[in-house]
Amino acid sequence: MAILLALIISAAFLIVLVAYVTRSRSIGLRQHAIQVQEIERYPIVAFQNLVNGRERGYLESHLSRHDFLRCQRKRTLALISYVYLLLGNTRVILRCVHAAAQSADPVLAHSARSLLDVALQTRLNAMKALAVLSIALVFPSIDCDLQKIMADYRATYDRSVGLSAAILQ
Amino acid sequence: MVSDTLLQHVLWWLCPVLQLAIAIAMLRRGLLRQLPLFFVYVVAHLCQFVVAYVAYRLSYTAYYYAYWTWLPFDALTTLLVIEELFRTVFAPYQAIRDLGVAIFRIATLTLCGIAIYSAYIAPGSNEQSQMVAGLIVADRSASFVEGGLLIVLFVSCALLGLEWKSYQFGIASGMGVLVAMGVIDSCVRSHLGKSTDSWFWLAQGVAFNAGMAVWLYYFVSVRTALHVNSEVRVERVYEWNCALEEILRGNSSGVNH
Repeated sequence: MAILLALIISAAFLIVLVAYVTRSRSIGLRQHAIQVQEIERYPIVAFQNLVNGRERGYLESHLSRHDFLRCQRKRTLALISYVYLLLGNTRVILRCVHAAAQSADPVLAHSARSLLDVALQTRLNAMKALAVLSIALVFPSIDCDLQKIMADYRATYDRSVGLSAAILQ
Repeated sequence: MVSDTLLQHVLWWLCPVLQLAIAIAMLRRGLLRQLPLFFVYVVAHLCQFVVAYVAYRLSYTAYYYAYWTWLPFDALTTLLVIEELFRTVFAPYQAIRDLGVAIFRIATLTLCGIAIYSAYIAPGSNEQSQMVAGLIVADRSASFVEGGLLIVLFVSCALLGLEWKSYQFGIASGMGVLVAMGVIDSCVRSHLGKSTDSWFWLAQGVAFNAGMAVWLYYFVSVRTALHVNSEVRVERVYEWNCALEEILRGNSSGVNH
């Protein structure tokens, strides 16, 4: 009986999901303006400090084990909020780039498509980072390497500059 | 098994009409090359209707075998259509194209495992025939795997911020309605037994026609509006660039500090 109930609930969830996605999609189609201004300024320096291995080592050597773990949890929480910010930014960029990729101008469409791949890769890495950070929140002693996500964000940033320059020419 | 109520007849005859309309709409929109498996799925269902109708005219036994023999083929084609959806949705994104296939494979294996386990735990014993009980559970398990895959597809697209083409979204949502109602239907049938037979067939008919209606709607009204709405005008691009440049300048000054 429990299994049947679980199956019915998952089927009902699918129907609700379809209805929700249909609704949000129709709202999206009606929104003519895509706001680049929605992109929030990303605190790169603060992020770099938090993923800096030397700072972690300093804290570990100068704090008691208990205080270090508590501090590390707070640092992880801050990192998670930054990664969420990054995810939000990539979502806005993706919306803009999707629209730009349909442009009649071939140069603009090509540039948009190349930025699309970088933005998607960044978003994917941000999601991986979020998974790693969730584990680090439970086990604060784990040292997670987030240099890759930082490098990707820098790549997206550089490509965005390139795209802007190409379009403005 | 075959009730003669008017509603059931209407639902039964509505199916091939909708399927034919979908096939024609696909051909007219030139979607055959993009979605060959879905086209095969629709045409196969159309053929199945003819076979089932002839069998129904012949005898109850003939219809019984025609219906249950069709189920594995139906499950296979549905799975192929979902795989085609995964492929076509992820196809425009070079960076994550392989990820779509990987997600599909992992999800299929996981869901098959869960479906086999649930079939073993809840085999549905309220049946006079052991064979019918087994077939209903198999049908339920197949629908569960298909439904799970569609959930994975919807969630993946939402998480990655992928854009659906109108007809892709139509197929996925229509399939979602069809499969979800199929799972609920099979669960109720396997729990309550033969007494709910007439409701079982009626619900199956409603589910199938609802799914078909969703597909037809999306194929007939392929939204050129999406492209019109999001078409980028030059002044809009300049506006975006100004905003982006401001953000980028802010970021680079932040890095340099």
